[in-house]
Amino acid sequence: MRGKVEKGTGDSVQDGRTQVTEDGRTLIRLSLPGRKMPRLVPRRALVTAIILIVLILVTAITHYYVANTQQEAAEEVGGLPVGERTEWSLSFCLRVEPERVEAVPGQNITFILQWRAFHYDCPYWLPYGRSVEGVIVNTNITYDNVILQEATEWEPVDDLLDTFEMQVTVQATSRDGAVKLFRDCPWYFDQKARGVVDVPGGDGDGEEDKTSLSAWWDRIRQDPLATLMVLFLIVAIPVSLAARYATSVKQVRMVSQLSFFGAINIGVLGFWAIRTEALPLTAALPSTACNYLNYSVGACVVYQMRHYLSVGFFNSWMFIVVLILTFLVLYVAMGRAWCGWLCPLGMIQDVMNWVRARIGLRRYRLSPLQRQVLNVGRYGIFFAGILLSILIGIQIVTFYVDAGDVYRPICQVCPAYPLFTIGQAGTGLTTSVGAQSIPWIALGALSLFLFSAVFIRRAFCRICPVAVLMMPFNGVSGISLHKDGKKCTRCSMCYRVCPVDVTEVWKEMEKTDITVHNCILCMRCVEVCPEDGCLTGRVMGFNAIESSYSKFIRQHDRGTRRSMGRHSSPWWGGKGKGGNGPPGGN
Amino acid sequence: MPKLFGRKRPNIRDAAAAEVPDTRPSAPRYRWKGGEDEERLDELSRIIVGRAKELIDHYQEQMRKAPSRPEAMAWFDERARFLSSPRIGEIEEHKANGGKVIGTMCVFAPLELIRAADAIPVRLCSGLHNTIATGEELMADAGLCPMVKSTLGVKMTHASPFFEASDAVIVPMVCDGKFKLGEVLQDFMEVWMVNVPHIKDTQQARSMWLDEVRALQQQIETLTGNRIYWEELKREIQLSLRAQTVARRLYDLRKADPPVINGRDSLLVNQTPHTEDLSVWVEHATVLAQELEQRVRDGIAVSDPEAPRIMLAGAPIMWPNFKIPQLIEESGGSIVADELCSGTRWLYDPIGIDEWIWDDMFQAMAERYLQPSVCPCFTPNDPRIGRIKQMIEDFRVEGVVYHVLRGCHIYNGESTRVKQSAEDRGVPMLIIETEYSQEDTEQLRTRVEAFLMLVRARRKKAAKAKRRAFKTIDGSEGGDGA
Amino acid sequence: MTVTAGVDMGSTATKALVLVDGRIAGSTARITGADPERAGEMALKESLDQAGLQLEDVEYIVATGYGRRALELADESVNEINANARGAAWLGSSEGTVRTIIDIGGQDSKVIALDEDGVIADFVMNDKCAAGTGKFLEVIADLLEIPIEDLGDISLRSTKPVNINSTCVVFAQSEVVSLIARKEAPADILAGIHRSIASRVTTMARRVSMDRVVVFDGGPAKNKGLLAAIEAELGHPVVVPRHPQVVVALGAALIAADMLTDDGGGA
Repeated sequence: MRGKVEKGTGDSVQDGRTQVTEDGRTLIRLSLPGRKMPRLVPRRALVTAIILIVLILVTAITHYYVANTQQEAAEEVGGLPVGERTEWSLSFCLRVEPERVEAVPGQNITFILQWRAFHYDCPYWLPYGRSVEGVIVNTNITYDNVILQEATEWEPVDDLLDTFEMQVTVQATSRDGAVKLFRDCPWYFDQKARGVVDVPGGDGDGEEDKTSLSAWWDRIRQDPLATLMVLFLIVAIPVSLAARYATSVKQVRMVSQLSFFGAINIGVLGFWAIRTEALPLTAALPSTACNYLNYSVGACVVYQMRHYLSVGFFNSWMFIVVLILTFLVLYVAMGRAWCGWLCPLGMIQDVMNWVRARIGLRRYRLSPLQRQVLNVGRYGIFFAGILLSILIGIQIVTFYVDAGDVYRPICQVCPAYPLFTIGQAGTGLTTSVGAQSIPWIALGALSLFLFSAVFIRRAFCRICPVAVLMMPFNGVSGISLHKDGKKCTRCSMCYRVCPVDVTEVWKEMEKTDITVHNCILCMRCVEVCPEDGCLTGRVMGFNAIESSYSKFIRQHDRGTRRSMGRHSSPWWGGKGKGGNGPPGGN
Repeated sequence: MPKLFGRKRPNIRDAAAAEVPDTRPSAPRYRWKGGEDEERLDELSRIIVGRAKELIDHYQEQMRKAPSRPEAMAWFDERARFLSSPRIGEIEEHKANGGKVIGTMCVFAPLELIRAADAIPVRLCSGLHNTIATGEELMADAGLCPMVKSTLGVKMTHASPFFEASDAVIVPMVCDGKFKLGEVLQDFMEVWMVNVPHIKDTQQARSMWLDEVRALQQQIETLTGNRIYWEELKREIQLSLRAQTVARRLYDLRKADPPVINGRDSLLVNQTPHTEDLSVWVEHATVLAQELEQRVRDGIAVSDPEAPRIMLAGAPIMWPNFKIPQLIEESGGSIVADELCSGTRWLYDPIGIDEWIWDDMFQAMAERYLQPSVCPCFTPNDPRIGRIKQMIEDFRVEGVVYHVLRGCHIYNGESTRVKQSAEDRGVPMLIIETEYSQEDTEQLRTRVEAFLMLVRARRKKAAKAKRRAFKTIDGSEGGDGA
Repeated sequence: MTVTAGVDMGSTATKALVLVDGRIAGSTARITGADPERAGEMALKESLDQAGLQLEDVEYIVATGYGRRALELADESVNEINANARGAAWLGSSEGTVRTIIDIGGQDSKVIALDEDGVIADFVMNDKCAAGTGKFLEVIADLLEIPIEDLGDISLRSTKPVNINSTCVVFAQSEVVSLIARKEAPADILAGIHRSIASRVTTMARRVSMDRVVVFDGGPAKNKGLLAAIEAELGHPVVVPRHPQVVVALGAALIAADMLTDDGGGA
């Protein structure tokens, strides 16, 4: 659709509804009701917005569907008699005894919940003294929490599967008559055993601390959107300040990475458990510290995928679909800018790189062959992990192999796992199984990660399995990188500074959209390009950052800036926009 | 134990990693009887210097005639005296104190390394006509690039003090002429040959170039006896960045309409750093830039605002061989842009440093000389076409004059493509194929005058078309109609 | 009445033309010889005699050609490319707008491309090499001892044109000598020569666009054999003005008239 803009200068080519500006942006003319003049909207903004809306709708519908059908599915699954062994197991399959209880408002009900689980999959559910307060908070049928007794009996029932049984006593007071109990399975939606007790008529008066601060905070914690808002603010405020006062994009990016890292790990400080337990959105982030971290906000999407596949592919495929859709919603909005601006693993790698630069050691550049091998390796790791999880899920692998060796494909060798949980163990805080049993292979992976991050920029990002999910959807991300090939002098600075060795930004002279699959949108190339207006980073089609000579030279020493002349020179370029228009004249 | 911090931080990567080519013959390659006749050479040299002086005086006189010439050009005029410039005295002094002078050809030698070793870099590409005959005694190719023969002749006749002061010359192997020039010149002085990859995008080309620059560094360090450390390289890179920034400023100032500086003056300003001390040049160029900015604000033009805006592209035009620019501006054109390696291209591209560590600094510096270069010795040379098109747009060029030296096949070979690209932008192009001699001036004048009239006629036509297209509110044709 | 004059000070021949009220009143051509200025004055005088006028009657004189700066009488000088274009466009053609002008002169040859409005769009010149210029014809006419004016008619009688291999005029001379010795017919030799010139000129011309209508002017345009050869190379007919040698002088005179009226009319 981008016509030849060769003839004439500075005009846009019109073609029906679309219009191409001279810097390669495609604008679409929209006639909105109530406005006389049609508005020009960047095409990318429209496309991204439409995709986002569609995705959100689809995701919401799927969430809703799964949530509602899950109950039925759970029922149909059927509970297992206590003590019975089986080769096939489903996690969190809830069994309620008795199955149906009729109660009156205000009546205390006791019932037994039983479930089986793979213990290494559910660090939350292990009975290490966690208790959850339960009280019915509204007139509707759900009750929120379950009181668990200290489970003192825990016997491995089956060596091979390592499952266990627990007896749980639940006390609940219903406010009105409609309290029912169901068997309910997945914790995905509210992560707790959910049951409903039928109580004919009546109101209950449960304890409710709605107005107290801690209860209010509890509600925020448990509301996915609210948590996201808090996360967003913790990152957005320092980043805005940095954008105002920093002298380079690199600094703003570091601030963004550090604040996000702090936000998700802030539980380590002990007083702010932002983590919630039913968080579909943050459970689908590319990586937010590991799921194994007690205070983490959610879990990495790879963890989720692997987990659901491991626990029985045929029952949880729906969740995987929902998971991927949710992931896509986030991804379409951000693109791989996540990798460059938020990812905690990325932050650690950048810190290692900075350390190396300060010491003065040279950087090791991978050859094109090595890069290719790693890229392919990335797919290999990801698909091997998925395959292994599926095999575990359908019980083929563990049939022949001791589960302990392969029980956590990908997570086993992911550096985030020992990196974040090792701190847990170290500070003597509440430990989780994860921290206690960091396998040697994980520690080895961590050392390799840290060491390679020093000498190879973004070493891990080249094999990051999460990126596999991102790659097919690269073209629709809201944040994108564009180039005006006419202004490019092929100095290859953009290639040299790129942390992930993207060559397209240097070599591409025809296309304007150069957001490639391995570009992490760190905008370093835009910063370092000395030609005005050659590279631009765009958010939803609007220019967020443009390359210019003054931006380029500002990164070098002050002595250079002195010979730049006063910024008041009207056509020099000043702070941002390039100044290649002729002065004087028309 | 080398210190990691402090004043003389060592290079982490040893320059000795690359191999220095062993090109020096055990005996002179050529027999030159004329070299034994000192008297004749002296006489020749006197004639050459005299003629050069005449030519320089003539051109400078013409350039001074421009109305409202910037005052800051005074220093550049003084330095443009070339063979009798005060710079020669400075170089002699430097040598007397034990310093070294390293000559360069072309634009590929990394000057920061030379300066970091406390040597003075001097570009030796020659623009003298009278030395060609002497050069042809050993390079007997009538169809060879006149610049190559001229350069050789200058050395053979000892005509240029810059040449005489050079302890070594770096000759990048970019074109046929330079290949053989390097060989012949080795009979007269030390020549360092540098392999320049002609396809420069690939990984192997990039690493080869880095190795070549490392070999050059070895040679520089051996000659000067000074090792190049981190501090020195940083200092020189920063100086280069200052120079590149001022050059960019001047470049942008030439976009002004009407022009605030003559084309010939600009060319001279851009040529001065070939031989001059860069930090001094930066100072004076900054003053010039400030003066020009003031002119832009005050609306002072240096030439006729109606003069056709011409871009000069093609083979290098070395001072004092200003025949073509002189002709163009005499005939009424105004050279507002140039795409010459002896002009804008010398200082246009900056060095982009990512991390201030040796490895990155070295790589940035070396790559700056290779990657953005649009010399036609590289292939495919699409970036040059893109740059020319962009310059035509930025400077609002109305005509391109493409200067080709006879025998320069790479520039000549690109002429058709450049012409077609200019036509794509709606701009006519005149190809002038010439040599250093002044004999064809009249013939060239015919062409240049015809071309300028062509440009003027097109401009008028375009203006007429614009007026015709303008319609007043009541539908009648506005403006002057026909 | 407006009287203007144009003088084309060529390297081989000097031409002058007098324009009275937009009509050609007199024109002449003479050999330049060693004194261009005198030749120019004489040519001008001759044309004025033809027109029945005196030098004082002329309001504006424009000189063109290589020797244009030598003529003191001239009020202004323009270059011959513009003059040629102006003259040829003014003469026009019944076949359509003149788009290409092939000018073969005594010591140079050029091709000028015009756009629809008669404005020069592009041009290419050869003034370094004698091959493809009238010089070649002069040299061969000398060698074959045939007057230049007859060259065309004789060559048209040729049935089998000879291939001339040398690109250089000087070496072509020796080649022609050997052809004569081999008893080749002069007509065939001449046809070969004309072909060689035509091919050189059209090769040069293809570097600028060659749209019809093509006009062929300059002294050698009177040579019908050369015209035929050029038409054969191009594949379509070529227009020759009635007095092809003075088209440039005509253009100069027209430019002179322009200067009088609207101060700097375009080409």
